[in-house]
Formats: sequence, structure tokens, C-alpha cells
Amino acid sequence: MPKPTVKVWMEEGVHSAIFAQQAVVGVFKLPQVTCLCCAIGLPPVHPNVHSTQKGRLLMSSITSTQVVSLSSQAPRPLPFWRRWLRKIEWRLLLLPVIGLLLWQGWVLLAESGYYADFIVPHPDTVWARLQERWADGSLVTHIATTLREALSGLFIASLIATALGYIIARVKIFDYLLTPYLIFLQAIPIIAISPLIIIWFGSGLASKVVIAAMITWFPMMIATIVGIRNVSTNLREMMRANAATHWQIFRHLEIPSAMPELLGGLKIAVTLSVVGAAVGEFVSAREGLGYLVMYGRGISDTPTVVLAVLMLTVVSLVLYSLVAMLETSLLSWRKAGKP
Amino acid sequence: MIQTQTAILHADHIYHTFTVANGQPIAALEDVSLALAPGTFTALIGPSGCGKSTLLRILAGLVEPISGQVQFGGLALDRPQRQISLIFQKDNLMPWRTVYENIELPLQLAGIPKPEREQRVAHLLYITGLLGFENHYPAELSGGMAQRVAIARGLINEPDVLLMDEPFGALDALTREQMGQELLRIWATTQATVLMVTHSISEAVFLADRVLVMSPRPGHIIREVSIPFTRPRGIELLTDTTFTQLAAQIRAAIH
Repeated sequence: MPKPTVKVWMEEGVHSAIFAQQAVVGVFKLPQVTCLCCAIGLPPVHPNVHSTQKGRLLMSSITSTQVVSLSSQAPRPLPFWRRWLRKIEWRLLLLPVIGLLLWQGWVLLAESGYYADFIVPHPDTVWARLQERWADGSLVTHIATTLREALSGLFIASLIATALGYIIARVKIFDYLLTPYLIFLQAIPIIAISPLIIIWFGSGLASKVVIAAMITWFPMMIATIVGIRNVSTNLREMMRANAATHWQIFRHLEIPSAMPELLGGLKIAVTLSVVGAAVGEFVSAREGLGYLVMYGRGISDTPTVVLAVLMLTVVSLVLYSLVAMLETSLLSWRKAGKP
Repeated sequence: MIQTQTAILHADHIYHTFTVANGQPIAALEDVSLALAPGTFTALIGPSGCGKSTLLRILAGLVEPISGQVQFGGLALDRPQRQISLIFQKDNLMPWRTVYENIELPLQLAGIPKPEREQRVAHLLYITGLLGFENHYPAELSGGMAQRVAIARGLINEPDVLLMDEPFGALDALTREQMGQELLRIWATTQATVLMVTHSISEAVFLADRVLVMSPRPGHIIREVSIPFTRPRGIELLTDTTFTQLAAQIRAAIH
């Protein structure tokens, strides 16, 4: 019996692939994904041959040499500019409007003469401070310091909080024993305790990392507990029926299932981590955006204070956006089946 | 009765009890014995709450009975086995996995290398009529389609025994009839031994070689009816007089 062969031709006459396989049913890797009929939105090439978007060709019941050609009956894909237009975030058009309103309001307030410059500084002065601090590199240093403190704290807190949350969600006795004490820990006002933390851990990096971790661990832990508790018992049973190990249940069921809650917790924690770092810097520090706020206040340079606060906001926003982007890519399946 | 020696899955004097919220024990299964001969299709039918699903979970190794023993291939069954596959009433698909990835899951768990996984998933996509839907997420599928994915996932390990807990229970009557026929067609391509729990008498008679009837709680098997029809079976069987007689016999046994 001759080896079954499938040839796929594109409408344009480009010869995409020839397969010679012994298997009657199987998956064959295509040399070029661009040659797939699905990539250009065409229907299956043949009832028994179907190419998938992942660069695979599924073949069934190929018993003799078959030649399959593609027709261009299917709807053509949208032109690039239409696809590009669809991807635009239209609400960004509002940004210049809102920005201009805020800026003009600020300018009006500063130029009204009711307030001294050290109470409401003129935006131009703040802009000048930004340029100065950008030019001598100190702004970057301050941002980097705060970022390092916030992210280290968040990282450590995430490790501890997810581990704790997982144990509490899975083992009843830990929930019973630990939860009251953990809530007690959370009830301590971080801002009030931060001078103590500085005394214990010094005025360097360590104390800020501790404060950032203390402020972020709770939302991360709650997110983990909720996420793990929400894992469907039906899916757990299905995994057990498939003789899955504990590790496999963790890896293939619990993590993906809890991912929406975990990312929600991370969204809250990531902005809080910046608050934690700044609070630590308020108390005692030699650099960082929180230090810059206190420094500006100390020398009565309000424009520097405003600049530092704006920068803190920007850092928070950027971190939040990064998590939001992570969420979009990891949870793309949630858009399935919705118009 | 099938000889215990030749049976692939064999339950021996199973008793099981539940404890409800107020601490009172409820007898769910009482002295249930059954044996499944290799390659046969058995249907299990009985009133709601008679312990059919519990029995299935015990046979799958998910639940340990209070007393009695389950033997699979001559060995005592103490935990779930890859060679016993359980299909649920709900499709139990992972919403974050595509159709392809959902069917692939049991192979992944069994540590099968990727090239072999692809071949086997492709084969099952083909025989379950899911070609072209492999990149869809469960949320994009109809109920019948999702259940077909669940069946494909149940078959991917080429199990010796397929236990089904009202697999078409959540489907409408029309889809249900169609799925039953498809199940027979798919089953014919495998050598699996099937035990299917169902609420539908005609479904049981249409699909099975043998129908076991369970009593209300505590459940035990009160009747065994052999179904003589040859295979392949067509939809015209549903109006056959022997068919209606058998269905009436089973209905009488339940009530």
C-alpha cells in the first residue's frame, strides 16, 4: 500500500506543504504557520483534514493520496488598518481633555493670588524641579530606591502570604488555629508601628521592605484563601478520578483556577507596596520618593513635595498597569463565549 | 450472572453509609454485588437518591465503602486507577483550557510524551466529531458539545472500564437521543467495558446489553434484565415491540 500523502495548496498557488505519513490519523507539524488555512480564516481544507491555529494539521482517514486546494470563498480578513483601529483604546482620547482641565485648574488656582507659592506652587515651578532633578539624576535614584523597597517587600510578602493562605484554605486545623492571630497582626496600624520598625531594622532598605511586606501580605493571603477555596469540588473529583498526584492537582487545577483571585489580590497589593515603602521613608530615610516628600517639606520647598507625590502616583500606576497587562494575557480564556 | 473470574470489575457485598448534618447515619447501599464482563455495556437504573452515584464512585475507587470489596482485574481496588475512567453528569471541563487541552489532560497527568499525546487527541477529536473545535474554550460550546469533550477526555487513556454517571442527564431530550447513538458508535471503536447510570429507561434499553435495576434507599440490585438486541442498533429500535416490553418490565421493577 502506498504511503498516504496530503498536499495542501493555497489559492495564490503557493505550495505550502506535502506530507507523507503512514498514520491514518494524526497531527503533523506544518513548516510555516502562515500557510494554515485557519490563519487566514478559511474553513477546513477537507472534511478529513483540518489545520489548527497552533501550527498543527489534524488528519483523519487519509487512505490514499489526496490533493487539497484552498478556495477563497471564505470572508477575507479585515484590512490591517481596520484591525489596528479596533485595538485602539478609545478612552485614551479623554486623557488630553482631562489632563488639560486639571492643568488649567491648577494654573488658575496658583495664579489667582489667594495662595502663596509655598502653599499652591505654580505648575511651571514643579516642572522646573522635575527638569533639575532629572538632569542631576537624583530623580531616577529616588524612584529606583522606592521601587526596590516596594517590590522586595511585595515579593517576600507574596511568598509568605500565598503559602500561608494555601495552608489555611486546605487544612482546617490551620484555619482554626492561625486565622485569629493573623487578623490580630493585620489589625496593628502599619503607619503607627513604622517608627518601631525603623528602630528595629535601621533606616536603610530592610525596614522599608518589612513595612511594604507588612502592608501587602494581607490582601495576598485573603486572595489566596478565596481563590483556593473557590476551586470546584467537581474538578477536584475529576482530577482524583484521573489518579492525579497532589502536585498535579496543585499545578494543573489549583493554580490556574485561583489565578483570577490571585491577580486581583496582586492588583491591590502592588499599589499598597508603594504606600508601604513611602511610609517607611517618611519616618527615616536617606533616599526614595517618600524621603523627597519629607525633604521638600523640611526646606519649605512645596514644588519638590508636589513633584515627589506625582512621581509616587506614576510609580503606582505603572506597577498596577503591569499587573493588569499580566491579567489580560493570563486570563484571556475568560473572554471566551462572551459577545 | 457473570462468573466472577471472568469479570474485569467486580463488586462484592458493598455496604455504604452516609452521615448527614445532624449526625444521623443513612444507609445508602446495602449488599450490592455486581460483576462486569469485559467489553459489555451495562446500564444501572433506579429511583433518585438510591445510591447509584455513590456506587459508581466506589467502583471508581474514589470512595471507600464501609464494608465489601471492589476488585479490578483480580486485584483489590483501593484508589482511582487510570484504566478506570469516570464520566460525570456535569461535563467538568476546565474553563481555562481549550477543547484540545481538556482532552489532553489525562495524558498529561499520565506523563505521556507530547508527540504521542497529539496523535491520540487528534484521533479522539476525529471520532467524537470535534475536529475544528479544538481551539475553542468550553464557554463557547453547547451542552451536547461540552459533554462530547468530556467523553473524549474519558476515552483518551484507552480505559478498560468506563463508568458514566448520567452523562446525558443535563442535556435536552433530542440531544440526548443523538448522543446515545453517538456513544454506541464511539464505543464500538473501543474495547471498553461500560457501566452507565441513567434515569431513562428507554436510554438504558437502547444502549445496554444488560440493565440492573436498583431499589430505593438503601440501594441494592433488585432485578437484572438482559437486552437481546444485536448491534449496531438504530433509532428504529425505539418503536420495536420487544423494546417496549423490556422497558415495561423494567418500569414495573422500579415501581
